[in-house]
Amino acid sequence: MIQDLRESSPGTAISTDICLIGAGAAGITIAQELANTSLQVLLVEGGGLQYEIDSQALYAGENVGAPILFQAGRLRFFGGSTNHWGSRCARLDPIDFRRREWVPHSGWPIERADLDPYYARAQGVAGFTSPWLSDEQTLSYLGVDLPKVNPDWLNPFLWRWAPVAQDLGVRNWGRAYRKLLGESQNVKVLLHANFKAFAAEEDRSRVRSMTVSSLNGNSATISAKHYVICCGGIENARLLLLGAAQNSGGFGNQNDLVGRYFIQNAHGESGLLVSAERFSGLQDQIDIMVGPDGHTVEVGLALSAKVQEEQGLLNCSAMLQFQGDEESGVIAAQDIWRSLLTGRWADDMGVKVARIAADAGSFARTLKYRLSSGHHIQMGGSANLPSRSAIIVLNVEQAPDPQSRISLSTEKDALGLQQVKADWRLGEAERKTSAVFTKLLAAEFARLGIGRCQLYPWLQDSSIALTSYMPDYMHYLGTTRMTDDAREGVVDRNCAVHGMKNLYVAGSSVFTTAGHAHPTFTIVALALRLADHLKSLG
Amino acid sequence: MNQQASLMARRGVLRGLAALLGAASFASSFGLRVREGEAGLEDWLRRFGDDLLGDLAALGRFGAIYLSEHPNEGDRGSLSRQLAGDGSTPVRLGLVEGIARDWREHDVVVVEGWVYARTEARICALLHLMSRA
Repeated sequence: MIQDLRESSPGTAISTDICLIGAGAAGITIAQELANTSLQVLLVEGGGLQYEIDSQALYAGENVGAPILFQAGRLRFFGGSTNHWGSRCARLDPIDFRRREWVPHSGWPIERADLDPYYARAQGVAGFTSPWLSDEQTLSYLGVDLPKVNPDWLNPFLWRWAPVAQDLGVRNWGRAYRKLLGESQNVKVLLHANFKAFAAEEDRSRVRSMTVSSLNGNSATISAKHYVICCGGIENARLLLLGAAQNSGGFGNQNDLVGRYFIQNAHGESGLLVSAERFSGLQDQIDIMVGPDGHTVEVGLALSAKVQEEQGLLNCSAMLQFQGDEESGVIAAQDIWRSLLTGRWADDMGVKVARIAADAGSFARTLKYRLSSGHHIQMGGSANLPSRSAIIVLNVEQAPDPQSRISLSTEKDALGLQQVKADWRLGEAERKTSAVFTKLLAAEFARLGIGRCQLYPWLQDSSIALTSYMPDYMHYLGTTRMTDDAREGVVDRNCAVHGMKNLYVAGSSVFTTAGHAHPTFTIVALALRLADHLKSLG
Repeated sequence: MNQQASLMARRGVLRGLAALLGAASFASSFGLRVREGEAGLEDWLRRFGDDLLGDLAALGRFGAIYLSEHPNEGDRGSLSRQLAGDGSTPVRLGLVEGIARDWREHDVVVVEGWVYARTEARICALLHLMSRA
């Protein structure tokens, strides 16, 4: 059932077993998992079913560190930020969960093996219609032969693009699960219900009730056995901080840790791979391809755990973004075709026709390839275009830093709640990792005769602001980190807020460390794990 | 645009280095050995460098930058001896093996952002020193 708080009676009181706050990847995952069980579930969402300017404005915030795109980076309506999700799925690596001496504040209280069964289940939630083949099987299916790369340094890394988004043509989990949740007998979705306040028991060990408000002034009081905050990496911390401020402490912030360790996947271009001649076969190895069952697979390279440990580096991976060779007939033909589609002749028409004629062999090969290839024609990939340069694009783990944090601003939003203040900081560890990794890639590309690399200046010049080249990537993590010891984090291994008996957090804020893999797939796996825990509580 | 210009400027260097890294079997077919120490290596570079490496001036300019960042390697004799090895291997094959070893062992240098094998950088440095003589 889907209801709208704007249309409900004033002073509505709702009693439920589980109250999920936020209908993004985590909240929807838990809700669909609890659908058709004996538990009564309420899923409250601050926005509606579509984007609304006044609702989105509630995400405004204040930057005091490197800029965070508070409103562009998140979406406040049903489906949450999956509404602009890139759909890349990958698991965190086993090393990401370890306590690494060379990465201060690292170490999850759980291991990768604890999450593996949930990663398997997450595939179905993300819309994959059959279990993933192993990386080795997938690479074999694609005909990718990357073992030529020194395995002590580099390993193949695979992204699988979630069909839940592709099938719909848009990145929208809200639409994917709206029917299921709308028809569920035990799940109620309440739209335009913005968090307003928690009321706690006197000893602040339990949430007694929660108030929600709509922007048109309606409100409701919710009493639940368990509350789960699922509002994303920034908002999760904000709600706990607001809860602590409104209730004179508690809410996981006894040790001033809520909002600290604000991290992201650092993402940026680190260099250029160039070849005197056109690449031969490289785009069959590292590119975006059609994998098993028609799902999109993207192949890249990751830094081995061995090098990370030996050289004290963070986890990271790289993809190649191929640039079309402007001297090729294929690019000239593309330019002419695109111009014709807009009803005009291309500029330098004569030059381009001459290029096609002079490059007829390459033109014919590309055409034949596109007509015959099953694996390598995919949206976003190079489709084997003639190319002799590629941009190296990195995803780098950001090291946990307690000084990088979310706190409350003195500014207030339209509901009268304090906005967030972000002090996002990237450190030299991310720069060092990026530099060493890109140089290793350069050495391997040169050794294999693929091409030579030019590093971008920011890799080696610490006077260049890192966040200019690795800006906000809109993956907000770590602000309610998972630890066994309440002195080191905010939630325990079951995602329960330390010191509270019925308050949980789901989503990217519980990540103890970031890894280089994008977070959504792990958010879903952790949400499934939390759903199992909630079921066990009855 | 700067990036593209830089790319074009480096194309000659890339072609030269690609040629140097060409088939080792071809290199061994030269059958040339460094029979007279460093003079043999320099003689080989003078005789075959233009054809094999292409734009020696461009390589030399790179070598000058390398030497400005590694002034302790500016002695021509030492550099020649280091590159020539013990003379038991044909010149080109020795250089190719040295470069391949550098890549394998990640013994690289970065000059103006470009990543080079140490041996490559030293060849360029030697070409620069030879051009000044």
